[in-house]
Amino acid sequence: MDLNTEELDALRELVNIGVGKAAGILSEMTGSTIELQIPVIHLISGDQYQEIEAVLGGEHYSAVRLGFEGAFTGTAFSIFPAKSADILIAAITGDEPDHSGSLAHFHSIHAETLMEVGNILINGVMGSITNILGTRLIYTLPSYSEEPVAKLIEEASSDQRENIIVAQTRMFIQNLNIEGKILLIMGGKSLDILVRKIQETQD
Amino acid sequence: MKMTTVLIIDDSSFQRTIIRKTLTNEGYTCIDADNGRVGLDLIEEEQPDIIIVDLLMPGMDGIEFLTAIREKEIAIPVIVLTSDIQDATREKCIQLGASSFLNKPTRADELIHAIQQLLSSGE
Amino acid sequence: MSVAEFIRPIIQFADLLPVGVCIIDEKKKVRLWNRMIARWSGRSAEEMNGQHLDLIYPHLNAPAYRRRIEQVLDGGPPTIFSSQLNAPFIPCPLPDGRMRLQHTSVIRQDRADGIIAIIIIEDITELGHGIERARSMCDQALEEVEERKKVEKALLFTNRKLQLLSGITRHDILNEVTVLLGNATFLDEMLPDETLERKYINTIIRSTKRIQNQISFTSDYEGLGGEEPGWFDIRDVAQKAFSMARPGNTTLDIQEGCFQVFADPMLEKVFFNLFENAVRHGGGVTTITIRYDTGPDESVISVADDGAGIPANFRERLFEKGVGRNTGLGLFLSKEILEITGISIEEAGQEGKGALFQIRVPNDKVRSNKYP
Repeated sequence: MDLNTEELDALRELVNIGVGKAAGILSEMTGSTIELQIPVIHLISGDQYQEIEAVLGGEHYSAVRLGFEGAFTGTAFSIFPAKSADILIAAITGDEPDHSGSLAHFHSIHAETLMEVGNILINGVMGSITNILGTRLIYTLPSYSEEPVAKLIEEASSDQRENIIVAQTRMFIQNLNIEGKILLIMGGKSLDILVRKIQETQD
Repeated sequence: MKMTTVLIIDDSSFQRTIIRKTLTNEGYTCIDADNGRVGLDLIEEEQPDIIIVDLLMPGMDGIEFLTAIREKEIAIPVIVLTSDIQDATREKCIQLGASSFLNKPTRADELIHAIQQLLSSGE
Repeated sequence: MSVAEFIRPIIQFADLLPVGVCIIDEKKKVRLWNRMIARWSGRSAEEMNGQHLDLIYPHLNAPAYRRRIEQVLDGGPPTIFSSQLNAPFIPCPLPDGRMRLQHTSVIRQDRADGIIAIIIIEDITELGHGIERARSMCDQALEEVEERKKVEKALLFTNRKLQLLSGITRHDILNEVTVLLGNATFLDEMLPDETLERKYINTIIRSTKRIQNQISFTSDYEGLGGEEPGWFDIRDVAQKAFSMARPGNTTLDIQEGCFQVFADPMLEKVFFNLFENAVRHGGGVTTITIRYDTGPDESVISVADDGAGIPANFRERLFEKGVGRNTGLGLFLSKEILEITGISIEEAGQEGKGALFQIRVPNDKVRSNKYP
């Protein structure tokens, strides 16, 4: 399935509003002003799914996962590449991130911190989508992992990963460049419903 | 009686449509632009009564737009309608002369109320 | 199912949980306050039920909390409050007055007559304090490293100053010694043979030459411990030292293959010293033999000659300062050089059968010579 220009524009605006809300919360928490950039959206679908690594890279991401079901069903991820995750950790906790795994305590706390930041982002976006489209969804508890994107997507059941909406976001916190992506993974039927809900707001 | 004309400046056609729907239901006339530069041109041509402007736009963004109309001493009231909810952003916009600052998604009644306040205060 | 119908059966279950559980309705009124949160907070269920949570805990009105709780109550996804980014959701002091560190989840539940938010508070104090201890140790270690660097810098500076000073002093002394020797030699030539005066002058000349040798000798060893130890190939070092020792007709028989040892860069001087001693004082040395042997804990480099060997009464004091012919410092300083990296040296030969020096190297200071 493809999304036309208006549909992509609508999704971008929904993500934009969600990220704006999240940035406001993060700004209060960190005591810093956050500069935002316009998110970039594209859809990976059908056979392009096989090239997910070519599009998103094979690196490990810090990922917060949120399942949703209701009017439409799928999985949302808020993901940070390792570099941005490290910048966030250093900015928030003052710690040097531990990649060797030798400092298990540090890793748990860092994971907890990244989970909250990812949770704030993803909640902003999902909240924006459901409020504006007037839908109600049921959610799983958020979970955290560090994996390549392909592995994250494998976790979604096969009939629910036909379409991946990728929103590339960028924030500058304390002049630090934090990159993140929001992934919305949905089956064909769910994406149809989402698109229909978007069209209803325009009628 | 001349209908109140509202200029909507937002790079998202989705957002412009939502605002337009809300306002036309209330009897306002709407014109729109997808960035600040086009908005400036439309001000000269159409002389709107109220301007609603987004902040994050390609080309001329909302802050640059506010600065430009201040420099041109354009007295039309401006409502900033943005996804950026930070207090620092609000303060900056008010300092640059914005008459009102609303966050997206704004409720229809909230937006209408803001417009009516500005019109009745004769700004 | 209404909110009350949902909550009633789970109260007993909630009281068994090792986490704090609080349920609030859309107006943020407390509808359930479990045993654990009651214990931690010091507020009983009777006290809390029916109260507005944000009136009892006003910090929850701050935008950072309020917006996110309301987002959940408005139908949004569960929200997480981590211990690093937030003050405790419900302040729960420990007996020692410190606050429990909390990881809090707020989850929406739709009921027939309204929405509730389930707040689950996990106590992660131990983990958090473990982190603080680790951070404190890290900071301490960093401080110690900085301190050490300062001390090293100061030592380096002092060492350089001392070297400069001893260099100047040595130069000045040698100048005076040269004058002494020169004049003593002239006097020696002027005096008739077999006189007492000539005898005294010869003693002065010999003593002055010893001083001259000792001063020159110390300049050789000025660099002792001044450079970082490194890895040296034994065969290469020995062959180089042998060529510098002016061996005359003495040959060097050195075993094929060998290993590298971790030693002070003056290692070559050690071998030079052993070879020079053998050639000059060994009593007819024709061959110097080097062999190696690797044991479970240490490796041994044997340097043996076919000379007269070392008298037994001399052997014990061989490595003391001032013992031996010439300057009496060579073997003492050789031992010092080797000890910098934990290597030892001893003499194990037999009088009449040649000297045998055994250099013992701990195996952690030995590696294959296949290294580049």
